[in-house]
Amino acid sequence: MDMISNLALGFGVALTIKNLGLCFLGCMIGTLIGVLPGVGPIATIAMLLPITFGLDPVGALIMLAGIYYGAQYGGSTTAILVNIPGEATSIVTVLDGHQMARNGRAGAALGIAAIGSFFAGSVATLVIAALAAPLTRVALLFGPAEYFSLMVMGLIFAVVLARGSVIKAIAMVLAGLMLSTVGQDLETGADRMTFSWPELSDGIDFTTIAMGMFGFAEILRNLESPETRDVLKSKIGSLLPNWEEMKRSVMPILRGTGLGAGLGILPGNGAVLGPFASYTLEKKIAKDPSRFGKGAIEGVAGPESANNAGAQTSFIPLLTLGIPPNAVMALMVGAMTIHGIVPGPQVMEKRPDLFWGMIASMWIGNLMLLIINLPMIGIWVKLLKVPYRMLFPSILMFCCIGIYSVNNNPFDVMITAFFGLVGYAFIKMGFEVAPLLLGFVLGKLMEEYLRRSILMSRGDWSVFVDFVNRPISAFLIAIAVLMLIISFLPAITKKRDTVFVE
Amino acid sequence: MQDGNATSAGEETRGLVKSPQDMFAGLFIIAFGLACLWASSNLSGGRGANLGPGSFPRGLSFLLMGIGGIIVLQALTVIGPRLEAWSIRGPIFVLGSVLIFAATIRGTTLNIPGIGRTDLLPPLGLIVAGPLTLIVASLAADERNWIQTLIFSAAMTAFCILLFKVALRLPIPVAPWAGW
Repeated sequence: MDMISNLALGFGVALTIKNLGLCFLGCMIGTLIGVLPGVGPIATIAMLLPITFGLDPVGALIMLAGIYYGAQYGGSTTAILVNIPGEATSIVTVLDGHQMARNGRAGAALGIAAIGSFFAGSVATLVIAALAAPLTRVALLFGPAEYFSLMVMGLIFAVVLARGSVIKAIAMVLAGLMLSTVGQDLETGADRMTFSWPELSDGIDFTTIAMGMFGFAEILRNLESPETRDVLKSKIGSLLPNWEEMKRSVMPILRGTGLGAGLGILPGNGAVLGPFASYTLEKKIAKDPSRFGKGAIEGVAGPESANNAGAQTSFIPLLTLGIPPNAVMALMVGAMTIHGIVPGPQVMEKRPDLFWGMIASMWIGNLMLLIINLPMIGIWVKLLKVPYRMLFPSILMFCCIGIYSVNNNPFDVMITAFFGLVGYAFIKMGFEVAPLLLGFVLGKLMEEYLRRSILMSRGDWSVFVDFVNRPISAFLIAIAVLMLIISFLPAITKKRDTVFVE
Repeated sequence: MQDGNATSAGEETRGLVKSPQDMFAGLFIIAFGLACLWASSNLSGGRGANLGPGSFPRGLSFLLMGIGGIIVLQALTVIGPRLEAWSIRGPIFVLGSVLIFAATIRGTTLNIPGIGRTDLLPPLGLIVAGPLTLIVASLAADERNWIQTLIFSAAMTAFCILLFKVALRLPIPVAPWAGW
């Protein structure tokens, strides 16, 4: 079995003392920052990127993956103990998780979230290991036209799945693509839209956009709404769910894992749907749906498993096709590029140690999270009580040092402040910024593939929808168009609203 | 398709612009598209099958203007949220503190045409930039406690120096005037 030997290679890499330590450290600080209210996974990863700069690529990626899971986990803890969802995927956890906490079952909610996530993470690791090789082979069949169409589809998916207006999300994607063209043109070397600023000729650094629009703009928004932090005052209680709760949770965990893993593979942020789908499903098939929203453990177990499974399988489009499906993965691309790795099908062949080492460390990371999270919950609760007026200057400081360290250039810090202002303006205009970041990361590749496709087809623009000669490309475009049309149908629009409002 | 108060605003009658927020957003996108079209106007569009450096940005500009137009049309027909008020203090102190960090960490040198390079600020390093950033940022919060802020910014700066300079060995200047 290829998969077994590959995983063995991976565990060989991941189980060295150094990499285990990095994985542990990543999980620790990922949770530490992720648990802070108002700091989601995107901001957490953006903030912690610089601490991986000094490491070798394998170590850096292992640590980053750890930070990612840690941030996800931390978000769930915040959702259960404080009535604040750190990000879209833990909105559902708040519904029943916080109610459980109010009913004195906070420990059980945290426990089942951890157990469900661990199980889901283990399954998802196997899914990645099993699917990576065949999908990579498929990816090698792709020419420039197919890649371009795939990215169009991914962006359309991201637009359809974003919160708020579809049209506005499209505008954000286009703005992101536009920003990616700033700097020297790869083919001709012409300076594009740099206004003769030498600092801009290398292009805009993705960390400046990410931290400005996510980190800084988020702080500005949080400062406006007076803090209503409802930290749990009562005791957390035993972390182990009782027998009755365990029995109730088994099936939701299994179903949630399946749903989350499946949706996470989709390009274009399918993972965000997992928790919603799982919650809706559990509520629908429950004997007594009225328990939901009042502290039903199924409403924590299912979505939390789906969340973690999706978080992990969303690595698949990145690792096999080199296409990040969401903003967090877009950050991972940036991190890989800093270490000189271009994500895509070639990584598995050229750097099997890195590829399989990272996959193995995903499982180890999940195990570590189970071990560190449960006993250390007391510390996380204390962290939740840090007042925001001390929190946000510290976040700002970390961001400043982080951005400065990317290129050791203060100019980047100024650009980030500018993007912070732009991000704040976007919030005020009702724009969601996640699609912009995705467009920005895909922009350079998209343009390159577009130009190559047109060159190869001798100027024939129908190459992308040529069902006879390029069926894969045409099929991908067809799906994208279909998704877009469906999203504008009034019935779906209404449903979409309720899904994201609920 | 709108969020939040969109539905609750349904009963009241509005003038020509049904959704001020969307109106503003649409006009902004159109303006952005126009600005990019202007900024990329000096770039070659290539010929035939050979797309030039200007093709992609220009194509995007037109798409942006088109989408912006749709958003404007939507703002004229569908009732949506009003424009939210902008706060002044938050952006000034938060972004100001970031700019202060950028200006002080390695000093600022301006290249003024005719005069040449002029040192505006000497390199001050993290030991000065850190507390300054933290104190200015703290001014953005509603509550204020000077003693707490001072102690906190000193402690946080020390922590950052230990973490980033001593433990992680990032090449960030801490006290360049003292050679560190």
